[in-house]
Amino acid sequence: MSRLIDFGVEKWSEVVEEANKPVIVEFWHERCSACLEMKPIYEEIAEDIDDVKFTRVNILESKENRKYAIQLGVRSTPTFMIICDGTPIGSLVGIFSKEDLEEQIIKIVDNKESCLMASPLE
Amino acid sequence: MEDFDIWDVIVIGGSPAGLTAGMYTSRARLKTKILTGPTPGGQIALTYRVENYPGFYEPTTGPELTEALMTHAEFFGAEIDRSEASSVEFSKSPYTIHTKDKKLKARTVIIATGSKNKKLGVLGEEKFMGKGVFVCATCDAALYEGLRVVVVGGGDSALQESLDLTRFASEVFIVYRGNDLSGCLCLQERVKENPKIKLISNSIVEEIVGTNYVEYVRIKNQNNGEVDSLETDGVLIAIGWEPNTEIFKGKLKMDANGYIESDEVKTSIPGIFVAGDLIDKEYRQVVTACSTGCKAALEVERYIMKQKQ
Repeated sequence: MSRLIDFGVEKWSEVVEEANKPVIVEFWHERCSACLEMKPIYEEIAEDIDDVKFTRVNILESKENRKYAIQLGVRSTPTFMIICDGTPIGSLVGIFSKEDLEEQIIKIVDNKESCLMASPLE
Repeated sequence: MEDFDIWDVIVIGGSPAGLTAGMYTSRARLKTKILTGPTPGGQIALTYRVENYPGFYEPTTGPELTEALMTHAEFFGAEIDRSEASSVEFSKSPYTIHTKDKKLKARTVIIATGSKNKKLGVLGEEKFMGKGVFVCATCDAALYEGLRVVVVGGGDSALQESLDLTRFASEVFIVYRGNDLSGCLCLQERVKENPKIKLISNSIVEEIVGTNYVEYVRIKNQNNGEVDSLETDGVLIAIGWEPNTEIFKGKLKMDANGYIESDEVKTSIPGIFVAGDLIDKEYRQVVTACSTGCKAALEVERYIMKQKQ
């Protein structure tokens, strides 16, 4: 079973804020070709890294998903938002190679004290 | 170097022209690699609705059409490689193409790298890219639901993207040079009938302004020189295209605008061919791109046959 969690923003509190580790939320949709390119890469990374929770929100799935994304400042897809202790600490936008995306995620998580306290990454 | 290390043809570019060329050459039993880069399909992959590709009378999507073209090429044995060509050496055959981690050799090359969005070149454009400035309505329109978007440009792309945006945005302002829109009449009619779209003619966007995200644009009227501010949540840049030919500079003859000089699909170097929007600057349709891909592939076949004689 994939470790990647697809969810709607009505479950934001449960999935993101109550997580005991850093959370990545990818804002995506199926008509975005860049998102489709990143799909297998993101899914692979989700299998590789244990200490981060990997999730996805489809902004075309519901108006609520879209509004929440807009409120969070998402302006382009795909956006990978990194959240620690319920607070966004960084975003990555666009297409990345697997190596680059992993490296960027680890860099952002490692540099934020709250994330380090929650879950140190190798 | 062993013969099996050399490709009969490497297609640089996963555009409709490139994928068509690769389908034809692989069907002709030529050992074919198509370097598509991370996002195959070129511009058509960013288009949500495609209703004028022959045979597809029910509208399809750009990604679906791209997938069909790729599948067709692979069906005949073409190898699709998502690497990007980083540099080339065309001084002698077999020709060399470098990617990030590979050095490839080919008897012939078809260049089908297409074009990319032209930039406005104004202050704020780079700063706010992804933070309100965007180039793909198909990708990002949903993030402007209930919001206002300024579209810069008056051609087919700008008009089609504006119509796509109205599915979500509350208002769309099209800012364009000159008195008249330059897009096709069918799109102009739909734009003018759409109550969400407002037109600002004889104008240019001078600056994109904001703090963390786009907040407003400065628009200059070309007739009287007046500059006004227009609050907006997003700015879609749709002012046309420029060729993706940087890696070929100094390797092939080019014109002042960066297009590779060619006699139809033949470049200045035997065995190197070009296809797609790099040679079709006028019509720029998927079907015309595919036809040039086919021509380039047929020329590759002839060239290789001749080399064997």
